Amino acid sequence: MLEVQELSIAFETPEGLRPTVKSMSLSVRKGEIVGLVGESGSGKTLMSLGVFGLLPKNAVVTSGRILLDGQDLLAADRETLRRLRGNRISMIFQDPIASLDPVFTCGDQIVDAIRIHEKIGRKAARTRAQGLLERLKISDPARAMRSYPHELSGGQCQRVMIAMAVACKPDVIIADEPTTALDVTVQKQVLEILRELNREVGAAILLITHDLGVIYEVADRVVVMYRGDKMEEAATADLFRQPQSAYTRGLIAAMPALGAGRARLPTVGDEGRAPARRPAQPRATVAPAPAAVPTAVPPVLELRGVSKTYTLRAGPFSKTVEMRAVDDVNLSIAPRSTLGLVGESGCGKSTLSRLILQMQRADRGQVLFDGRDLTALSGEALRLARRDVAMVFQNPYASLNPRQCVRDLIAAPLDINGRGSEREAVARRLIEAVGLTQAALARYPHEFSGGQRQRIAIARALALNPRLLICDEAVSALDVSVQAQVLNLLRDLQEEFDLTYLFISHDLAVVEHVSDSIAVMRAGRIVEQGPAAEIFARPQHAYTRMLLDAVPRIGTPPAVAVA
Amino acid sequence: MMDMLLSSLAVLTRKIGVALVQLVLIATLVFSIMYVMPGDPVMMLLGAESDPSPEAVAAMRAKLGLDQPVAVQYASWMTGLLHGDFGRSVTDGYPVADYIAENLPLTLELAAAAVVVAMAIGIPLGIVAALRRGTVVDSLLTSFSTIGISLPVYILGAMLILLFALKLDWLPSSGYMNFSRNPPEHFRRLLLPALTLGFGLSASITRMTRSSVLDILDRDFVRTLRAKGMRERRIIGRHVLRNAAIPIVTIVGLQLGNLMGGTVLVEAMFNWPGLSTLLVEAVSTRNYPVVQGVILTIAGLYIFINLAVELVYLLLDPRIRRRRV
Repeated sequence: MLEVQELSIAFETPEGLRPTVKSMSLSVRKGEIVGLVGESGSGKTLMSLGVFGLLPKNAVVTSGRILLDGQDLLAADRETLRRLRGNRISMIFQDPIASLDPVFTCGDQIVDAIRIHEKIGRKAARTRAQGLLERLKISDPARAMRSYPHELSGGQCQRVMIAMAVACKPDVIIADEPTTALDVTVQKQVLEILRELNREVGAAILLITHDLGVIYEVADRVVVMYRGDKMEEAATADLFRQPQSAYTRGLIAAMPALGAGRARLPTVGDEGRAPARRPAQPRATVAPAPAAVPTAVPPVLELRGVSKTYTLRAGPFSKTVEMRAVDDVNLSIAPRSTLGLVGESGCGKSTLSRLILQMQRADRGQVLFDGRDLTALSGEALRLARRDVAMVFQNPYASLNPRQCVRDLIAAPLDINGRGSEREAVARRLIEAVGLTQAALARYPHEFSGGQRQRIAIARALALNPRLLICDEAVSALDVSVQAQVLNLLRDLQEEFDLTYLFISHDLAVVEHVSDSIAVMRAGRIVEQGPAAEIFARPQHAYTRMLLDAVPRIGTPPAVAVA
Repeated sequence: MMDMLLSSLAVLTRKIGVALVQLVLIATLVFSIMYVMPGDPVMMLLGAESDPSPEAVAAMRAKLGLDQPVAVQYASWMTGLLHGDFGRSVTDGYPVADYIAENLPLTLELAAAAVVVAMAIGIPLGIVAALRRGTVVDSLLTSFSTIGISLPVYILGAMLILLFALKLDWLPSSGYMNFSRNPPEHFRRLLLPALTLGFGLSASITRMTRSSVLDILDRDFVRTLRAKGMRERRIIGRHVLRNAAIPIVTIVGLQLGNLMGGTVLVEAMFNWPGLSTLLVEAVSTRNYPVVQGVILTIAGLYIFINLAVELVYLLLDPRIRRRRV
């Protein structure tokens, strides 16, 4: 159906053409789902934009052919291409909310998608659009039609995107990271929808993702891409059973898979990145106290009945509605152990982390740090107490000041606390501890990759020798292989610096990998907590089971049935 | 989202409060004109060199209410304002409010026409500059807007009169025609002053439209629209422009105040019988009540316009607008 032959795409730079996609070939047949896997920067998105004729202005196709049912798309004129787009080939993008026009209703946008290519009345198109949303099992389709994108959740917006993409029954659908921005349970639903569409409509689907688990669930064949080159192509089952290229093997091994426990993750060797740290001592020598079992060691952090309620108003004259962001949470973390806090977006995990740091005050309850109640502190006393808690945030691109060099970034907490004289020594020690070289100190954040930036952020968090490190989705924005490196680093640092972690994440596999104990959060409440092994082996709460089921697993039969 | 709505409502309430305080302050300032001006206004009105009789001076003083204590004068001035009473013209005894009511619409018409002209020029040029980014067209338009912003109205006005009235003889050089008497002539006479007044604004709009459109073109949803197969013309005209409108409205709103200032020169240059012409006339005849009334009206307009711009924001962006349930 869709055939890409020897396609090469290059960026025009002042130094000349920089090839980004190198002689890629792949084909997608009718009724087939082909997965295209690769890490960020591998050229997979660029290739899909090339198919659409939507390349950025500074990118050019240097060679190759793209055939849709035998018709060469690269040779087609603009008008012909436009008529094909959204009609015979359509696309689903990564960030569904940003991919919809914020000032038009979702219904209008689907209606548009239909009426661009078909001569039917507005009313008929609306009926059809609503029918599509019903088929996609969106809750309250009529309301979704009237809603603006910001009024819907990510999963609902992605359904609207999918409705738009399938509105004209296309032959080929290209889905570029369609589930990356979504929670696991929503991801599962979206993947199921794609599977069904593939079966019903018979459309060929090219699924682009960095997540091998997703590929495993739905793809019939897989193409692996690395730095613009095709590494290998195989049927999905074969690829996971017998990966041919070293890169694919590394990629599969680097995935934190559910059920693997707390093993050290193998990483993908890559000469372009930071040198691997020396292997750390085996984990067994540490023996952390499981949080749920009462021990002689008092916990570092203990939350007692912590609650936070927001009041919302739907309009200036509507009644106020109370929203319990955090509802009667009890938690404790033993010294040198890791508590994994899991939950889907909006469940209150981030609010909880802000309550611990006293960036927001809890309405009720106590936050005991080393037995001292932080909620009772204020002013200077609070500032001093906060030095023992540090935070690593999700987005390493936004959380480092681009105008400061790495030395200043790492030393900033020292400067603030009047320990500026130690800055040079501390910065040198920490930069090595996180696996970067001394030379990095004089450079600026934009010169580093995402994983390296997260290392810098971790070094900064360690500057004041904190006892507790809160990692709020600290590895969610990173590629699998880089994620593995950072997770290993966090483990090594735990031993080296005697750290206690509160590890917040939506990714169960990652959480299982780093945690001694787990707390599952839903709608502000902790629904289940206990030792990690127990929770993963015998989840008690229905919600925990649902979360676990939704995670794509390699090696088990796919949760989404294959036709 | 809710926070945004609530805070924007709070902002709006505060703005209305600030506007009211500003109005009172301006009314007080305008009232004090009588006292801060050098010399005795009564003597200036009657002409000191003509040596007016004490009876005439006393009569004039009583007419202006200047024989009362200051506090009483202030109180009656303010209560008058609340009832729409701006006092009476010294020269003919007609209520100042009547003068303003007669001249204000003409100034508003001129300003509105200027905004329309500015948008009609600025928005298309801005879009063209954005779509032809980095080309000769773009640099030409950017230089045009730089010139437009820096050109004073009196020079531009003189040049336009020279070109369109004297050389080409297409349009009358000045004057006003009542709409009911001769509609086409009314608009012919409106065109040059509106163009003169709106030209600077059109340059600002060009710039803002360019940068705003460029910003929106980079958004993910534009890529989605293209992937749907929508025509480029429709993407720009319907989706990009609507999203780009907010900064453009901001510019128009911020510049409206300056526009009101510009009317003073433009009305004088084109002999347009608006508020400013009335003001200039009143100043030269030392007709204090009229001067006070006009200044107060212009200041009030300025405050009202800024308030209106805030409201337009709320209407334009559904993310700020009240949530549908």
